[in-house]
Amino acid sequence: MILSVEDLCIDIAGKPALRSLTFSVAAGEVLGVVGESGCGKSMVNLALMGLLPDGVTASALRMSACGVDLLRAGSRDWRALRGGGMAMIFQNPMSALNPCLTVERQLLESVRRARADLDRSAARAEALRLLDRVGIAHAGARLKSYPHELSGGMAQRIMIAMAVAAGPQLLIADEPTTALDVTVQAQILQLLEEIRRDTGMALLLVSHDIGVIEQCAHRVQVMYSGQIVESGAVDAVIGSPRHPYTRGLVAAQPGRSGMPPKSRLATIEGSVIPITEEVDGCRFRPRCVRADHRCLQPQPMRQIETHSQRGSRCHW
Amino acid sequence: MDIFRKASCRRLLELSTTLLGVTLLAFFLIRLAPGDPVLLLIGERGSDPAQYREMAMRLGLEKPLVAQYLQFVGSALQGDFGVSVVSHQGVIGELLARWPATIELGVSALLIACAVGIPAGVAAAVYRNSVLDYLIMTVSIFGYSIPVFWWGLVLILCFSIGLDLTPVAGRIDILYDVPPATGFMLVDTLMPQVIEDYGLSAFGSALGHLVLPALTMATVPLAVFARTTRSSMLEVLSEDYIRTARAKGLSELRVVWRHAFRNALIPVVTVGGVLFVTTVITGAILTETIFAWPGVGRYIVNSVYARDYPVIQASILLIGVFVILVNGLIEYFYSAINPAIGGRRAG
Amino acid sequence: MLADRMGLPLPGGWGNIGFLVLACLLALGFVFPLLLDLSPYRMGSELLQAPSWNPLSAPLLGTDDLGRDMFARLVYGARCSLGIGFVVVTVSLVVGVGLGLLAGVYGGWLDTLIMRLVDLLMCLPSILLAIVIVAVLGSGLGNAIVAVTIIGIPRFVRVVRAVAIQEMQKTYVTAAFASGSSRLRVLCTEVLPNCVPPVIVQAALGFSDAILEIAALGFLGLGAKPPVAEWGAMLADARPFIESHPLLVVMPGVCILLTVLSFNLVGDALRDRLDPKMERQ
Repeated sequence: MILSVEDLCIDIAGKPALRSLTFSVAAGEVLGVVGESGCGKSMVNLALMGLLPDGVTASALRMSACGVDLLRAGSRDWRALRGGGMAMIFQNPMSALNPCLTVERQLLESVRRARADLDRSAARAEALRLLDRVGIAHAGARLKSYPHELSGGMAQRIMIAMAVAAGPQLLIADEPTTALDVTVQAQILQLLEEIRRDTGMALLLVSHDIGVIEQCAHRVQVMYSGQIVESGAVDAVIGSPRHPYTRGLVAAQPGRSGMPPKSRLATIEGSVIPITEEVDGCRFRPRCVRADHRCLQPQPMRQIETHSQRGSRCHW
Repeated sequence: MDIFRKASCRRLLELSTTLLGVTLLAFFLIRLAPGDPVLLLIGERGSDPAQYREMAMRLGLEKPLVAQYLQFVGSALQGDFGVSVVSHQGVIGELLARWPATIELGVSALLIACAVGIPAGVAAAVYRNSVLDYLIMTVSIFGYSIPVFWWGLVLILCFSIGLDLTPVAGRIDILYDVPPATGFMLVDTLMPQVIEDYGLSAFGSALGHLVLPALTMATVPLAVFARTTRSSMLEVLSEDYIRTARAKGLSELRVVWRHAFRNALIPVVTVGGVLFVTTVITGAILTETIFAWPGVGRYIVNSVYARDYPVIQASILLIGVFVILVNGLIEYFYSAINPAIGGRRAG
Repeated sequence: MLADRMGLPLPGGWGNIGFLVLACLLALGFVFPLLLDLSPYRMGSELLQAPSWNPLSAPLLGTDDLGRDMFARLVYGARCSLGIGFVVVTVSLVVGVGLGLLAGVYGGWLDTLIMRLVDLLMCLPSILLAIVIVAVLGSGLGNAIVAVTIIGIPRFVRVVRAVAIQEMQKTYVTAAFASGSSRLRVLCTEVLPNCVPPVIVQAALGFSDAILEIAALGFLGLGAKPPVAEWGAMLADARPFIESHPLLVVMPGVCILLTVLSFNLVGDALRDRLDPKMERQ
């Protein structure tokens, strides 16, 4: 396992926000995380990178990545991990690049951190190779650009180039295509998939779009209001969702096969409970059409089929 | 880039209208003041009729106002601001002779303010809400509120009278005879001939005389630098690209100085430009009065006491031009430091 | 003006301390003289007396070079500074808000004219401008007040104009025009209320600047003239005695510092409370 997390809890300003997350990612695997905005997906990513903002604290029974025990990691270990085994790309590539530094300086920073042995010209050659790898034309000219001269897709490609500079074993992609045009989205996802195949790195792909997950991921876990509510192989989860929330998500997708064209799109009524709010029993109960008295009890993760890692946090 | 050029043209136009306003202000100054402008400009004492006629001719009071104004601007452009009532010397020469002393003091003060204030602001932002942050911010709001003229006296009280460490007034001890080469005392005392005569002791004396006035003048801008740097750094440190830099595994030192500081500097530079002007002029007027520093500020104040209107008129005009020039330069620098200007705003 | 750019989230209590000190100063300046027999002008026989711990037998803070009671002079100085500050801020606020509204709501050449005048005032450093105005009008407290008032106007013009321009672009203002409201009506009902928070903040900061400038002019001998009990002028009077009686110099300055500091603290606290976005302008 490249990444394995057991019972991860995150508190925001002393209030529990993310509750008891357990999951793992194997080498070369793509784990999709799906859930609507505000459910705490990004917090998990930041916790894995050790980049939680002030006032947000994480605790866990076990949390390790690339063979490093994250619970015992000091700031030096974290830095080694971030520049080495793990990398991350973000939702809005335009604001994730420093507007005052050229692409060259930002990219070389990553290259040099990964390979301190390279001299200036070798590092520059490596940067050019990386830009070429992520499909940027006229790489030499682009190196001289400032971020505001790039398009969103190009900026995200450069983010990816920076992220894979060190040849990470795990790439965390936090909504990598949300801020981009639909046509560019597909290209970026394709690029991520290509790089994953070539390098054998694992990918933790976070998105609110279940279509994106379905297209790219091997396994998926569905998050709702700070909890994992369902997990398993992509085909199984999306093909026969067990948790009512997953069902809603799948049904709410436009153009799903089996639906007559121009039929009314399904929605999930209500809105997500703020993650720091305490609720008795199932957190989806207020919005669930099938809720009954049993839902007032806390719902543990239930194994669905013994031979797979399939689980759902619902008694139905 | 076309939009940018248009914007800078517009700005240039604004600056030149302000310049026009400054000349109008200087022009109307003596015409608004109560009394006969001619008498104001030649002084009431010892004015013989010939002198009176000459000045009246020069002012052209019988001509229409526009003609008078054009004449005023015309002679100002040639560097002719008339003759001081007190010293009977050309005003422009008197002002230019005092300019280096003021600049020397102002630049030293600003250097102190930058060297202490900016790092303090960065430290306060990086360790925000810590004891250090509160300490720096408390000191800086005191510094920001301090009456400069009192602060100078307190420093004299502590360091000159109490501890007897520094001299009280002037630019250098009278026992040194330093020929003015550049007007900057710190430079002049390092001229080969002076070194030959006195060794480095003249330079030491000049430095000793500079310390207290410079500290006095540095206090307010120091506080402003610390506060501006802090709030600007806090804003930048919460940006996405700082998270990216951390995610790359860069050291905190590198994140703060390379990725955050440069971007945070943009508003600091703007404020610094405004400060430079207010420090040099405002600071000069009060600080030079306290420390008997022979610069422009003290000269202006003395001219107001003596009702030396030609000097006041020329000072407004020259300082106005100075301020407008500095502002223009700052804006130029601003666009140089910020590649995204005209495009997406940084920071 | 500089203060526009600086937000300073000090611990919450600071603003309250500022308010408290101001309340004390107000009481000191306006209530004490009613209760106690204080005269800032009466000259006693004891010159340059040291402060005493028994206010019944000798003046609390000693006497100055003419034997006048320092405590009484400082108390009247508080009254002088706060009173002048109030007049200056009120007048420059009314004029500044008026001009700002005209510039922001009506725009066009009026806006250009007003803003160029504001630029002109802001381009020259305030103390220089004050000195020049005093040079034209003649020195004296009255003229110093006029000068400081004029200098105080631009800050209000700028914030009010900014708010007005912002508001005029809002949909509800367009809607008000569409439903036939006059400019004047829109100005009073939609724009003016939105100007209140920034104007209050600027008023507090304007107070501190005004007090500082009046004191500076007094110190330079261009404002209040002896024997008026004004902190800046007192400081200048005491300068010859700095070696022998340093307290005479220290005390008026501490009073100025405390007053200015309190107004700045209050201004910062009000800004945080009323208008958190303003620091980013």
